[in-house]
Amino acid sequence: MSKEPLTIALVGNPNTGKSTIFNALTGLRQKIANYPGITVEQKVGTSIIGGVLHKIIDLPGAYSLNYKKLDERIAYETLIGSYEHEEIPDLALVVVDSSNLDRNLYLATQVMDLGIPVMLILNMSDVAKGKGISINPDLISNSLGVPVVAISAKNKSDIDQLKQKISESDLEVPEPLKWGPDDSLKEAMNLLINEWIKPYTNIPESARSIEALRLISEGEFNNAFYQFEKEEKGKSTIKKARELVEKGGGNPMATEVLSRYNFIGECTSNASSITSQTKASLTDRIDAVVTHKVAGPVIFTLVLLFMFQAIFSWATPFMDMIDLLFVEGGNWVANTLPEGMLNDLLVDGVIAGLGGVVIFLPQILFLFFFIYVLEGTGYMARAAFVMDGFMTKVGLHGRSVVPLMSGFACAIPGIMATRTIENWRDRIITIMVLPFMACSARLPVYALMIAAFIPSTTILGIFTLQGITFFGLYIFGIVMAVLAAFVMKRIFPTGQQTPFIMELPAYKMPKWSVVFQNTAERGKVFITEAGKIIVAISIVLWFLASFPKTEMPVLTQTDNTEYNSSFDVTENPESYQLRHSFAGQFGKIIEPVIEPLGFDWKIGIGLITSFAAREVMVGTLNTIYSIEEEDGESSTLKEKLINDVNPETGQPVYSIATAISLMIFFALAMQCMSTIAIVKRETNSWKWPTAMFVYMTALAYLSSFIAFQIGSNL
Amino acid sequence: MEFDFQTGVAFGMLAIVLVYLTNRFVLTPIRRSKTSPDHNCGPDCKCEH
Ligand SMILES: Nc1nc2c(ncn2[C@@H]2O[C@H](COP(=O)(O)OP(=O)(O)O)[C@@H](O)[C@H]2O)c(=O)[nH]1
Repeated sequence: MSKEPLTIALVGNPNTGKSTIFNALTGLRQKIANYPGITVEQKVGTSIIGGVLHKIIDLPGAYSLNYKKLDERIAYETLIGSYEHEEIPDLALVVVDSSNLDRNLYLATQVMDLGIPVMLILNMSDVAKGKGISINPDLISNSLGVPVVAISAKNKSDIDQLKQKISESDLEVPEPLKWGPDDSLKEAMNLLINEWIKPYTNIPESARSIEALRLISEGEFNNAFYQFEKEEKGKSTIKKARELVEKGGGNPMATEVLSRYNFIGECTSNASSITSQTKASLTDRIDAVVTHKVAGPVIFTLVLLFMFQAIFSWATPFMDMIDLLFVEGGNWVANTLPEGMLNDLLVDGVIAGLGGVVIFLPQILFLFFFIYVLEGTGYMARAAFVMDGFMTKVGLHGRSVVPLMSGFACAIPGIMATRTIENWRDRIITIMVLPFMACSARLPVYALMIAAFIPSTTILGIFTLQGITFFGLYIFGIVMAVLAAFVMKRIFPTGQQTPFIMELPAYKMPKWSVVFQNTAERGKVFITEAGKIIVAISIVLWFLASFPKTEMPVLTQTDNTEYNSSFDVTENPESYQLRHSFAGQFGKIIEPVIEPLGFDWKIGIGLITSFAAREVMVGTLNTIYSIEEEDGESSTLKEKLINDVNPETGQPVYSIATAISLMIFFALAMQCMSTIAIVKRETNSWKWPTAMFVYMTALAYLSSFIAFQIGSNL
Repeated sequence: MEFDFQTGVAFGMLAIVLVYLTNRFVLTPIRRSKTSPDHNCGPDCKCEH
């Protein structure tokens, strides 16, 4: 090989060891900068190989060159030299994970189509060996037609071997399209290249066939990425090309991918073999069960059921402790501070409101603890895989699964995560259904209603009716999300799905420090973020519920009948005052609207405040009930709810039907300002957040109505 | 209702809290919804980049 300095690019899927190889090659001779104008790291260094100083570029990890994601686009543009001021690399080192060869080779076959010399690095040889996979690099090299070297990047002598191989390389350009597109696909590619890409776009020559394939599979061009003229001409040519493929009996969306994988399969089937089954397949054997068509969903359901049961039972002692703390704290403030308005405000407003919510901290901590453990062990990826089955059946894209699962914590990160969905309509549908996933802000409301109104009957030894109801509410959220997506998919068809590859990492022990840190962080956010809002709203609410001051009329024998409708004998002055306060009057105004759902005006006030954030509901109820409570009394919110009696009917305010209706309302209604704001930002239009608010809240109202009417007439 | 020290503090707290809530639920969402979104923002998007 020539002794010229070369530009060598490292490409590969994420986590294949590119950076490790880059560091080993360059040592300290590297600099990290951002690509101009964007925040993806660009790592460039130099390395002396065979006595020549070469330039080494570490490209961002990519699964394919279809450049829909920023990282992939940068890798792609660097390889074809379209990136500003960058020359086309003289050699592309494709790094693959030997223990996951077939999938990793997909990118390799794409890079081989770019008309630059390619060398394949089978990294992680040690891992593959450990799994009992043995690979013959020479056979792979023969069938792919590129030099191949098997190494373990952590091993210094292997790096030397790699350098040796690089310096021996004759920089031959691999045969393009070696994977063998069939005739109709080739014809379609030529049509696109000759009639559209060559004459009308600025795509560099080396990238034309990749671009043609991309246009055939996606059916549309992304005008953000390159310049072109005559858009109409482009669209009609794409259409013609796709028709050619269809005429040849292929599916324009899948033909390329399938042919590449067929080719890869042929290359690897005789070049690699799995020798020992034992160690190799612990992960695989677990996966055979865990991701099984039938067993998979069953296991997923059991995991969730166990998780929610545990959250419900394990958190109880801690919750009792916190409860005691706030009750005692409240009493202490009440007795220490001189009597007055501030005293009442602090005790009935701030402490009651905050205490009502902080009590759920243990459950929140357990919830996130489980979520992070499931994530850390690698099970979460399997759960997503299992869900993917359902999702694609209803027509949702596989990429929707991970955003939806993060909706269990909070809809906002979930909505941001939908950015990985390339199809705009798929993305919008995912955003629109994501708030149905039971986020952690709903937990306090669910937990309160369940603890107060669902009996704790034991079922199957370890489960209780309470735990099962809790679990049921989470499943309800998933089902509603899927149903809503199904319906929306019918209203706005999004076309066929492109194949989606999901990575299933090996199972491992979670990193406990990470689990605990993240859980603690979530707890902190819950206390500070929710806490601030709750304190603020409790204070405002206390004022609204304490003014104007009204005295309860003194009851005498004669005017008994006259006052009968506005108060009753059993009512204490505090609740009379509350009913006539601003909050009470307002509650009475909205009561007719929510009465059919089984809610009284106090719940109504709670509902109003919960539109700021769902967990505020619980704080609000606690504040309202504390104001109403006669001085000196103190019971938990749960007891207050159970004992609350409607002064007009003499019936308990809450029945099981009310509690269920309320939980359904919280499961479905769009009660989160922050989500609305994020949806507005992500879609850049008020149309979507408005539609979301209206349809979700209407659905909530209707469902609660039906649930309550059925429930109370049983 | 006489206006004593405690009443003063209580109303002071109310004032602070009202400012906070307006900022949190009215001003911030408006500001946030105005900042430009990232890439892949769809047909309704008027992306500059
Ligand atoms: N066992 C083993 N681990 C490796 C090897 N190469 C890299 N790793 C590890 O794999 C992980 C991912 O490597 P990294 O270089 O960050 O991958 P990148 O995302 O492709 O840049 C790191 O923890 C490395 O230490 C290898 O050959 N064998």
